[in-house]
Amino acid sequence: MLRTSLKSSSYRRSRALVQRLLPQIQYAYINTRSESKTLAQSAVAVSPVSRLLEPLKSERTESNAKHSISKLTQKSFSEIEQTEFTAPAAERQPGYYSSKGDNVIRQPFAREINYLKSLMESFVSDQYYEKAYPLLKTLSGLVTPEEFTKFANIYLEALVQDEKVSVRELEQVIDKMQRECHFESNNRTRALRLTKYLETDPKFDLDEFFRIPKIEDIRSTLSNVDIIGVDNLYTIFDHPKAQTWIPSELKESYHEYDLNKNKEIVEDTKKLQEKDGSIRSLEKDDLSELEAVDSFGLQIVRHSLLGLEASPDKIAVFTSDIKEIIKDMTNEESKQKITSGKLNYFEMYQLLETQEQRDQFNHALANFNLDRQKQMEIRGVEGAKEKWKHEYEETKKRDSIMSTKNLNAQLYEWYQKLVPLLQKERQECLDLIDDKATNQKSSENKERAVYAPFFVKIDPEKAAMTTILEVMKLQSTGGISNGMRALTALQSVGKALEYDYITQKLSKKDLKRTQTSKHKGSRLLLNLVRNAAEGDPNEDFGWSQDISIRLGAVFVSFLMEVAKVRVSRHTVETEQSAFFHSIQYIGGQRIGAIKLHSDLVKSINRSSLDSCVQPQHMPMPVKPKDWDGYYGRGQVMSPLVRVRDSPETAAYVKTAARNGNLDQVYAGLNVLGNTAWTVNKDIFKVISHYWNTGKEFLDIPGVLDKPILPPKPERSDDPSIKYKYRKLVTQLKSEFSTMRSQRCDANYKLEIARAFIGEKLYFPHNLDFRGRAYPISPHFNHLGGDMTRSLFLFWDGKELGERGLRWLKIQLANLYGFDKAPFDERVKFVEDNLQNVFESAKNPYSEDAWWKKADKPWQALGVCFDLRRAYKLPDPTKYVSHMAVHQDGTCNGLQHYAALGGDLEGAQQVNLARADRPQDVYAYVAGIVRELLEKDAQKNNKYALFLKDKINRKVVKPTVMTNVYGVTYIGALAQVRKQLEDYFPDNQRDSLQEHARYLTTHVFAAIRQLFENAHLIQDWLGESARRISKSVSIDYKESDNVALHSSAVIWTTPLNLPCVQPYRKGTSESLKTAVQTLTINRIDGAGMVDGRKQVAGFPPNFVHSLDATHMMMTAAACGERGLKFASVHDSFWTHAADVDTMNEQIREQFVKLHSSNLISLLKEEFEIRYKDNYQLIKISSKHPLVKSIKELKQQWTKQLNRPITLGDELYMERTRLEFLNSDDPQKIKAAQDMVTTIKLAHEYEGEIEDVNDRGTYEILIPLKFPEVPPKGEFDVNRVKDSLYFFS
Amino acid sequence: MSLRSFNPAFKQLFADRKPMRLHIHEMLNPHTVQQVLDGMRLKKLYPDGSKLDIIECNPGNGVFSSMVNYDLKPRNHILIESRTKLQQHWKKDLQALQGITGNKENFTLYPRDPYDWQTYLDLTDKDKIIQPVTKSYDQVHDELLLIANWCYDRGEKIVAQWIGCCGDRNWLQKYGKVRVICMAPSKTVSKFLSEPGFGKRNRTAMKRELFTDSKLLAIIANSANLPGEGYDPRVLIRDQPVAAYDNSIPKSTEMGIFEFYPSGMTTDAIAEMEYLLSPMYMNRSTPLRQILPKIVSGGEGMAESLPHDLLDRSPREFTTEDILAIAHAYDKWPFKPDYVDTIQLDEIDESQF
Repeated sequence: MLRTSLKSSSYRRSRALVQRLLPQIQYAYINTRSESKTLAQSAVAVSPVSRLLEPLKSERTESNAKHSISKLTQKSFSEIEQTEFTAPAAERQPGYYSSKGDNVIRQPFAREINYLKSLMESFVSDQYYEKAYPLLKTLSGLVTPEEFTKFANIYLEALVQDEKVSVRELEQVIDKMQRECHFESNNRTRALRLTKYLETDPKFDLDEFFRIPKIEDIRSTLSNVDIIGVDNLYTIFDHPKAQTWIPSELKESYHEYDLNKNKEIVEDTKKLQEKDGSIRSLEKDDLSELEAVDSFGLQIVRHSLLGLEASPDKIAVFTSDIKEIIKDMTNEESKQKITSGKLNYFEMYQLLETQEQRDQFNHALANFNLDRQKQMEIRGVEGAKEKWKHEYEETKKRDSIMSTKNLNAQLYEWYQKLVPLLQKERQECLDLIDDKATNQKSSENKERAVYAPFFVKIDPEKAAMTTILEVMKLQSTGGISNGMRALTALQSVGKALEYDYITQKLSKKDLKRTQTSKHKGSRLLLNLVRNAAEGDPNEDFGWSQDISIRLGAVFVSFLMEVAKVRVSRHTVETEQSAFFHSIQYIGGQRIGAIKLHSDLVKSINRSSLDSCVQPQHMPMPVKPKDWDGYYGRGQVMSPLVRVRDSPETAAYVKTAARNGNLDQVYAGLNVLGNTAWTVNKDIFKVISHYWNTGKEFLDIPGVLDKPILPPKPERSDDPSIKYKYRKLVTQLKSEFSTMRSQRCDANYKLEIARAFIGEKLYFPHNLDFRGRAYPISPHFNHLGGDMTRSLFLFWDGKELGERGLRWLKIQLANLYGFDKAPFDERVKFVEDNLQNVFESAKNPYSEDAWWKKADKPWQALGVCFDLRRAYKLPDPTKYVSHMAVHQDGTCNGLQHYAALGGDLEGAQQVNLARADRPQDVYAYVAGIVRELLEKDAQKNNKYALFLKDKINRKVVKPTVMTNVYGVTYIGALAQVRKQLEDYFPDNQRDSLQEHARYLTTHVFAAIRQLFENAHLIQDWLGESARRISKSVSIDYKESDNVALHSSAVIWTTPLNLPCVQPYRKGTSESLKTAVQTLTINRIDGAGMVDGRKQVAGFPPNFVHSLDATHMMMTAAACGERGLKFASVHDSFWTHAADVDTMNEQIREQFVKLHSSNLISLLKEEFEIRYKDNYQLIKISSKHPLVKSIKELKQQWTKQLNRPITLGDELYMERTRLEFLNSDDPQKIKAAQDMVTTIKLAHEYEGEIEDVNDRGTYEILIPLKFPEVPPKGEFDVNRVKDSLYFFS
Repeated sequence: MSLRSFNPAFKQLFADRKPMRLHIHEMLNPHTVQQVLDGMRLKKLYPDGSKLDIIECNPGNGVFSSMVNYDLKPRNHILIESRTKLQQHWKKDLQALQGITGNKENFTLYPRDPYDWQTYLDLTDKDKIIQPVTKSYDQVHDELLLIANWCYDRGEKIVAQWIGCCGDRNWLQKYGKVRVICMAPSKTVSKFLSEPGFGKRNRTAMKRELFTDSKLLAIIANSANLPGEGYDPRVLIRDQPVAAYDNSIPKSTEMGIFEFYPSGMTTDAIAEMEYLLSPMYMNRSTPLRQILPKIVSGGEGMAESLPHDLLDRSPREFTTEDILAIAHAYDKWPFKPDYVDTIQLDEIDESQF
């Protein structure tokens, strides 16, 4: 019922108020449109409700500016110089993403700013200050003054570093910037000036410089240690007032300096440089070579590692370190072995006797590897080049012609042709920038100007390699046979070039300031400056997407121009282009593709192409630096959260990082990243053996020459036959190429593994947007299949002990597939099979070896090796094992759901409670389904009668498993149908479908019965997501860039990680490049959310964020207890000896996580986050509310003389609330009397039901969330006693 | 105008139910149909109904079906209809017709999908509802006629495939030169019937010219529109189609009716380079010289054996002679890829599933 008050006098009063306000809105509206801004403004100024008019007024004036600014990224530096781009001040103000309350800033013109910044940085780093200045000036027109200061300081920093620039010139530039760009200097600017003075003016008076600023400003100035540099800081330290000036973080360094200042620098490194030949470089050649050794890619991997030891002085240091370490070893034999040069690092490490020796060895190896890592980053592709060159020269020697038969030689030929072309182009670009180009304005130069500032940064030789490798790597990807999508190629090449550029830049970065020539013993200060020089981990770096794609296009087009292949057929021989650009239809869309010459494809197939590993894709030989911000320090360009096209996710995580909220996330990630591994050489040998047979074996794909195809049909065969033939052939071809690429992929992994045999390696991890952790190096890591996993060992070993030996046996039973029995039975299973275990380890190649029949044979074999070695000792419990033992959650998603919902029986079935035997939820659900069917069968239901004896765990498993991931009825139907297929011949498809439909309904019902409360929570999550993604922000304006439904579902994990669902609809835009004009889908974080995905994705994503949280908590807890820890989502790994401790922590942390009502907390979070949002719902047109809302709108329409929009409704409500919250009693009074459509709905006391039907009317109501469903009786503390929770 | 072809038996049937509007458009006005039929003069082409089998795909509400049937009085008129609701209507109507005329019209409802090749195999081989005789390709088959309505977007692909079947001489064209009277959106018909040089000339238009004899019979538009816009004027002048109005055709579309049947040439003429036509016609306004390197590895090499003026022409302008010249050059080209490498599903195949 409509509240009576609406019809009361207050309602009438408020209508009168609105009527008074509206003519003014209309007035301002019309006047701003007709460009009589002054008139409108004066009207606004005199009106007491001027604030009400402001937004409407500004909306009209900005559209033109916005339009021209959006084209900025397509302009070259000279065009930008000639045009003025200024955004109105209001438009420069930052906006927000999904929620204003979160205070996560959405930078307007982010793309344009990023482009200008990249361009400016590029110029200043090469001292083109005059070219950079106009860009800086343009930036000043797009950002807020505070933002601008940041950019200006980048510019000034370059001037400070440039010795040719005098202090006077610096001051002049600052003056000019103040005049022309409204530059406001800050303490960093002062630090820049200070540095210049210190370095150039011998008479510089520090006292005078610091006379005016307040002491806190002085301290803040001196905090910019990365600018001031070590030597200048010493100068400051020498000042009598230094002690009062320096900020707290420098205090310790100051004291250190004070103590040591009189000592002289000692070149202590020199003594380490004695040549020592007693340790030779490592040899890995005793391992049988993989067959595809000739394929390119392989050699790069090896080189990246083996080449690293080339630096003789580092070898000398390492050698001398090791000599020192082994000095006190008692076992002479071991000692000799170590010095023999025949052992790899891991083998040496294993022979050490004391923990002290091992610590020292780790330290020495870390130092040694630091240099190797750096070399790998800088010279990643040189190995490939050397190999190509070698083969090229060999071919030449044999006097044979270059052909695709020798792919590497062919690639070298392209390389040789490409380099001069790139060099020439680079010169043209330089001339253009230097204004030396002959025809500056030619169309060619106009195009060149867009990429020139970036092109000149790139080393042509390296870029030629990168381009060739990237393009070759992409062949047959993106659904294009024998080619690749043009966009992907350009992006990959662009990204790779950017990576090269950044690595070079970082390796050169301001060495001067981070070293000292004056004093010794200032490690503290040096570290401080070096860390600061690495920059803010929350600041973006690198190029904008437009730049890298355009640049990629330039390089790819050059490659396409020079790359030729020589082909011959019969007696004819000719040279043809190796690549060609063509258009292809994929899924009804026209896609630009770059295709490879068919002969080239064949030759790649023959040599089984491996891709080039970019160094950032390799495991790291050194411990990654700990995470402390959005961008990883040790792993260049890796963000904390991997997400494509979601600036919003990045912004939220960056904000959390800046606010210091992510320490717990870092803690977990650092434990994962600090786990050192090595490659299991024994397993590698066996894999190599089978690999080299070329036959299919276990999960190793066999070598395939070409697909076997059916005979060709006749012309006049029926179209159905011809179609089936084409379909079959296409399928066979695609299966063939999948098999081939699987073998390539496996080969690739094995090659990396081989390179890392005996090495210590680490996997820095980052997260997906839900917080799940993944190793950053994508190709070879412990997340792979059975074969890959079997290749990993912990670098450190731990003595098994009684418990460890037992766990090692349980691990073997689990891997063998004997994992449903109680632990004692699993142990017994292994003990009964000990002879088989030993035999497997002793003779792994025998035809019917026991290990081959395991569920996960390769990993099982690994344990066999370990057990055999243990039992060779008089006491096997004394064996030092490097094996990782796994503890896996039983249906982990359901475990979390059961804990959330507190379902008693459900919790029992997923092992949250103690039981003597592991429970099997699939079997249990199957049981419920059987009962349901039995009941129906008694009623003579034909489906039930047919199916009741056919239900087992296998039938329900896929559906139960995917239920937590939000499998839909249709998805489940397909799963069930597949399970029933065998019972129905081909011609009974309809019957199959009917039975499947019947059964699916019952499987769903059974799961629901078992996890009733959990399901209510799943529903709650879905409904909340639906309301959020259908909501409208109070700030919504039709004229804005922000879409109507622009709020994504965002939640914070218990570890404070903000999770933002990145599902949004983008806008497509075209980008002109040297290869083709591309259509790019841009997602800017203010566009329409993809409601369907937001809703369907939320329940599973939320649960994933919980399982990720649990893993990270466990990781951190294990780390604190000194355990080595690794995880593959819900499988947690540690040393056998530590499984008990880990198990305790797995349970402890789970209980800790679920001790609070997570769903209630989530509701509270949502209520705060989306408090300014409204739901757009449809109610029946006959609803009593509709009449009053319509009436009000009609009033407004009359006043405005146009239909009322949603934006108007929100504007009125916004104004009402603003007035209501003001300090002005008059305004408060006015607001209290004011009626808006939303207020009407808000105050309505009857039912408002969202009906999606005909004859409805759309209204806005405040966003509310459903009540949190009740929890069941299960007490989560019982998890602590559960034996098989993770097992 | 008299409704010469209107079967009085249908008067009551049509009166009893409202025509259903479904996603395949059709003529519902008997006057329009009469106008079209008058223009076609089918009786002259098929004078002896007692030997004639008609297969009609998507008969829909049946206005055209009943009238063409009344005109030709075939011994069999198979209605292939897959839409369940229409199947029900037809079942009812045919039952009623049995009562009125004893179905002397010889209608048979075949409730299958006309989109599926298997339907035609089953019709003749498995269910043996009709068993057409095979006739020589010297003249048009006078005992089998195919009528089809593909007036919706997806229909374009099946029409293109049917045209291909004339070149392969398979499917129903294995029985001889079987005339197909095809209704399709003007968007499709104007494309497929365009002549060399016309803006819309595409791959299927070229194949249509190579493998079939064809004629534009009629254009039917909503009375709010002017029919025939968008057609190649040369075709309009040559074929003099009936222009008619029917308001059951939505304003946003227009229907064209055309006929085709196999001509002298088969796909053997271009079989080898058939796979190149798809990428070639994706760049249909680019000169051949520039297209060659984009469609096949080393394709630029083929230019040597092609006349210069042809290299400067674009696929849109190609005549059948041009295509045959390219096919010839391809045949001679030493670097043509293996047959296996040329097999791929193209955009027309995609429509099958």
